[in-house]
Amino acid sequence: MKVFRIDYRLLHGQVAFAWVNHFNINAILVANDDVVSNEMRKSALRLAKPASSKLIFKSIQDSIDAINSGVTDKYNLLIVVENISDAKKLLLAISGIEEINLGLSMKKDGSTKLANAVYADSKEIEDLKEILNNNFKIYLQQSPTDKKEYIDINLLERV
Amino acid sequence: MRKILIVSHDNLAQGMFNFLNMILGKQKNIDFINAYVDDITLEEKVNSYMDNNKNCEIIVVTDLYGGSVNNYFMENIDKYHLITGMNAVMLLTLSIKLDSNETTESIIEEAITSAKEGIIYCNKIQLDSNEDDF
Repeated sequence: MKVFRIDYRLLHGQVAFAWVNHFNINAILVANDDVVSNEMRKSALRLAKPASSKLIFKSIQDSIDAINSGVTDKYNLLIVVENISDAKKLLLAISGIEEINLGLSMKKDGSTKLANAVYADSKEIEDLKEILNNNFKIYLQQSPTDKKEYIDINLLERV
Repeated sequence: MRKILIVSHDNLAQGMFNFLNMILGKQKNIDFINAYVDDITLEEKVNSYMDNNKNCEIIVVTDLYGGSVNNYFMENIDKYHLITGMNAVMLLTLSIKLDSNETTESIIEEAITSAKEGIIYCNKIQLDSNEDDF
């Protein structure tokens, strides 16, 4: 089973407690090109690692290779990416995922608010449309017990 | 049904309740009482809560051992489970396990252990640099 989340804080207490427990996650993949070579960021993220789960850092390309090789299949895997652009790169190159959680997306200059704590600029709106057009579903949900709210293409066309 | 009742002096209980709802999503079986913030006595608030939850197993979590809130609950301690010295990790652990098949006692023991382990002098941590892989 794979859960895919976009969250600019990557791994933090909320994700570690709520998502890992809810889905019995036993491996967390932080897919990010900066973190993989940044010992400070890795150390900080390890602080939030739940005892019940592995925590693995890989670049986007290495994440694609690992997932496609099948080594992750035996896990209840939580894949976390930092932003919408990384999500698109990863999603279009792997299989086994049907929907993604748009959790937290950072506010930037010129970005539009899609939901509480979810912002996207024009490039990211295009990326989200491309994700939807490739038959993935995108849902808003901060906590796994909250109701899933699916995003449809009309919402993105309007912003 | 098991329920958690968070009780404190002033608005700490409500703050903890809000915190849990933010981290875990909306929680159905968790309630709070802020003591001494209005004209309704703690006794009235507790009696009304207990009357409305007669068939539930209640885990009461209070702020401070020796404080008047906890002292009040000590008087009828055979009617509920009572934990004091609340903190964020304790309440998170209790909330996550509330609907599990484990016994209430073991859930409470686990919550207390996690609560203690969650208190950390961060300047003294040896940062872990072990790399996991698949």
